[in-house]
Formats: sequence, C-alpha cells, structure tokens
Amino acid sequence: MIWLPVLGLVLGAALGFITNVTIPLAYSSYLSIAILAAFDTVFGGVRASLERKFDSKVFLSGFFFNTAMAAILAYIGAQLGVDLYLAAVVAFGVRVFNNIAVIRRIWLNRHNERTQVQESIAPKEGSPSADTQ
Amino acid sequence: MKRKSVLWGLTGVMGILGFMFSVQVSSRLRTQMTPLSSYVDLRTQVQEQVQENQLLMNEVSKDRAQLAMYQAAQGHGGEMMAALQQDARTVAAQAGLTPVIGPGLRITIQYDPSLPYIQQYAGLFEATADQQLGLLVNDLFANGAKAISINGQRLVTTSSIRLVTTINNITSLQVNTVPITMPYVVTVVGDVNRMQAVLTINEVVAQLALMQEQCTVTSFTGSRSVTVPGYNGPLPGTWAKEVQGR
Repeated sequence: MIWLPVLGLVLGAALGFITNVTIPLAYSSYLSIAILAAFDTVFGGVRASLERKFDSKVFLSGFFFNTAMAAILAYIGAQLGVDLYLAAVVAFGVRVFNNIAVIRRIWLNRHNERTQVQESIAPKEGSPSADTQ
Repeated sequence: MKRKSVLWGLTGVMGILGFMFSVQVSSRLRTQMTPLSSYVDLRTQVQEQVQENQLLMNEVSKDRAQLAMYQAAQGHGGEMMAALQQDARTVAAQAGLTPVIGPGLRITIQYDPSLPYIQQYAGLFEATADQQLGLLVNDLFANGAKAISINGQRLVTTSSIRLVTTINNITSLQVNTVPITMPYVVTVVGDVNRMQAVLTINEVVAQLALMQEQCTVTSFTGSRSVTVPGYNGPLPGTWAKEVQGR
C-alpha cells in the first residue's frame, strides 16, 4: 500500500502539467516556500508514523496550516521589506533534514533489530538440534 | 482502519504537493522562455524603439510640412489651375501637338517630265525620296525652322519618313506611317531668310531639277503666313497602362 502516496504524487504532478496552470513570477517565491512547508509536513508525518505517534488531524491541519502560513509570512515579509522568506527557508530546511535523519535512524534501527532477530532464530551450525534433524 | 486513513491522508497530501510542485516548475519554465532575459536585451530594445520613434517623428514632420503646403495652396486653386494649363499648353506646343502659324516657306516638289532628262540622275528621287526629304528637313530644322509638315503630316521628335515597298511592288513614301503622294508639299514656319539661304547654298532646286523634279519655293513673310498643322498621331505612352496598386 506504500505505492498509494506515490500514485497521489504522480497524479497531482500530472494534473498540474495537464491543466497548465501558471502563477505570476512575483508569487513564485511564495509557492516555493509553501512547497517547502508541505515537504516538512510530509516528512514529519512519515516520522510520526514510524514512531507510531501519527495523528491524521494533526497531519492534515499541519499540512494546510503550515503551507498557508509559510506563504503568508513570506508575503508579509516582502511587504515589510524583511526577508522572512529566508527565515522560513532555513527553519523548514532544518526541520526537513532533521526529520529525514530521524526517519533514517528509525529504519536503520528496525533493520538492525530484524537482523538480530533473524540471527537469533536461525539454527547454529553443529548444534545438537541440527544433528538430530 | 487507522492505517487506511493514514494512507489516504498521505495520498491526498502528496497529490496536493505534486500539483503545487508541477505548477511551480511550469511557471518557472515559462518565465525563462520570455525573450527579455536580461537588462542588456531590454536596453537594446529601448534603443531600437527610440530610433524608430525618431524616424516616425521625422516622417510626421515631413507630412505636416506637405499638409501646410497644400493648405496654403488651397486658396489659390484658380491661379494654380491657370499656371498648370499654361504649362500644358507650352508642353503641347513644344511637342508639336498644336498648329503653328507664322512666316515661313512652302516647298513643293513634283515630277516634271518637261525638265531635261539626265540619265545619271533620272529616277533617283523616286528611289531615294525618303533620304532627299530627310536631308531637306534636317537642313531646315538646323537653320531656323520651328515647325515642319510634309503633306499635312507634322514632323515631331518621333516622326518618320520612310520609303516603303509593298508586296505588290508598289513603292510609296510614308510620313508618320501615313502614305503620301506627289506633289510633296513641305510647309515650314521659321526664319525665312536663313531657310532660303540654306536652300540656295545647298542648291536644292537645281539638284532636284537634275532628277526631273520641279521644286518651287514660296516664301510667306509680312502679312502672309503659313500654317503648319499639329501632330495628331499616336504619342509615346499612348498604349501604356497605369500601374495598379503599389
């Protein structure tokens, strides 16, 4: 079932290319920061799922809220002449990489645990039980 | 059940993320394809527009000057028309399209069998009538003739004097492609004294008499005058057509 989110990603991208929707260059940076926020939420969701702490409400609300807020903050920063855009990029970038690191560690730990379990279950060479069989 | 909701939620979020991503990519691609990619391009285009603007302003100035000229001439339409008509009359007279009346000569050439027969010259005029008349009118034009006609055919710049033999072996003289017959009457308006002088010097009457052609020269001076008719044949450009369009 892991292919379902991948399929959703492909369908969304195809829809975007087919509909040929474009945004003005002036708003391109806001969409960029919104995408970065969406990435952060997705990776956060994956991490929470792996840590068995996933909550759909938190995930969905976080996705929409973070995405919208990132774009709005970038817009406000542009209006004020403050580079809130860069601040958002740094903040979300750190979080994304942090989440990726945690996901990687969890996968590695699980892999190690699985290997240890398999090694402990597997019969050792020259053991009495093996001789009897 | 919980895992299913997680999957669907994640799928929806990933779909939205993919959509946003593709929109962003296609927007940036389209922006990069625009022709004004740099400040240099923009400056070049501005310079070109300035030059074009300058050229157009020059054109506008010329058109305004022409318009002012037309407006100034608007009140003098009658005078302009009279001047143009005068120009047209002058050009027509110079082209030989109008009759010319004035002092001049009338030279009549006619075969006269009573004149002495000289074998060397007998029949020479009939054989070279075009050349003889050509020499005569050239001498006259070079010595004060203003207008010449031969048997009513006015000589203009495009005129021709040709001795033509038809398929029936009949030879005839053509002036302006119009056949003429004897007697040949050359009517000339111009300086009578000079023309008579050249005829005397060239011994035209005597030369023609040798060929049994009687040449009579009558001068018209003072109150007497001769009339040389206007040219009425086709003019250069008569068959030309106006070019339509550009």
